[in-house]
Amino acid sequence: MTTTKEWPDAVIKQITDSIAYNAPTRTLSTLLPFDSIKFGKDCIELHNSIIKTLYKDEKMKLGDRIVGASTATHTILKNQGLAGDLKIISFLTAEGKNATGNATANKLKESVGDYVKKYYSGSGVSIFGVSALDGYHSMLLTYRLTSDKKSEFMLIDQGPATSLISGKVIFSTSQALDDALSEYVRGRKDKRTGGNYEYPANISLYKIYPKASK
Amino acid sequence: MNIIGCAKCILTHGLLATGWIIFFKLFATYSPINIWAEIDSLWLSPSGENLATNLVGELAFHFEATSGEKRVMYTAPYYPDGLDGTTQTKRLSKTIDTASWQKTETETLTTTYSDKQFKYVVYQDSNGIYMRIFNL
Repeated sequence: MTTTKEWPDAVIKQITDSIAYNAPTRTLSTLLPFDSIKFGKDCIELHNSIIKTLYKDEKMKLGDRIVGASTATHTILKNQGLAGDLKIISFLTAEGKNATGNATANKLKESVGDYVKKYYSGSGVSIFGVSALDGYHSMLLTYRLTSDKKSEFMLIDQGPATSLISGKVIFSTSQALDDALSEYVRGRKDKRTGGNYEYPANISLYKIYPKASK
Repeated sequence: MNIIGCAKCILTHGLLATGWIIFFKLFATYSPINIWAEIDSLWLSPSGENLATNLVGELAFHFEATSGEKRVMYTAPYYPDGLDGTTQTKRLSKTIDTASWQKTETETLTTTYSDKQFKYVVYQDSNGIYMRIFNL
């Protein structure tokens, strides 16, 4: 079950401080003429690292993928009561039919932004783990109301493909967030799995809860 | 040539070389094909399931995704205590036991190989194609 449990506002600074050097380092390392060497964390490593920062537990065991396996970060957190259910939002094709895979996925069937808002209590920060294409990409999403009561979504990953050198992108509306996620999936329509199948066309997300105070 | 002239020459050629490296790297990054892997592949001879050796006999893992993306790897990170532990870099030629090497599992995001001692997980995700080595 997903509920309205939020984090204190201070986590935004904690998160942005913890990712400050990752995307620039990652971007610089793409300029090196060696494929084997990459500095900075990749998407799931960064996702897990932020969660460890949030819980102030560097030794916390998390998954090697965000969703879709018993060893996934979502499953591990959910088993400890630290995450809600996985919400899977599928895609429509350009013709408005259900998309079966990433080759024909065009637009989200439901709004990710509206789902996030639905489980927001009205104060503090909501934090969600977000997966694109069944774990192909892992991101972290925060949602809060600014001091003038406007929506602010922040999508965080390792950069540079999706969030350039800063590692984060801010959206002020659900529509803008949904459009960016749809664009991400549309831009990867030629990607295939190891078995030469299409990736399942979806965005899945789960809410990450603070530990209950003792 | 005096010392200043020599230093200028080294600096000029160094900057030119760096410029070319950055140009090729940017070209390779934004090109639909992996230029480095294509060049690397020219010197490889197959020697097992996704394994190959180069001209000097160095063993490489050679992976071509169905989208056409290629990777040739000579080293990979090793996680002795699982993903959340410390990392070491292992040279594949010193690690892989070719006699017991086999593909063991193909999933959406990963293809797993193993030999008698290690598990080699090849990921295909937003970070590209890369390998992580774990204990069996």
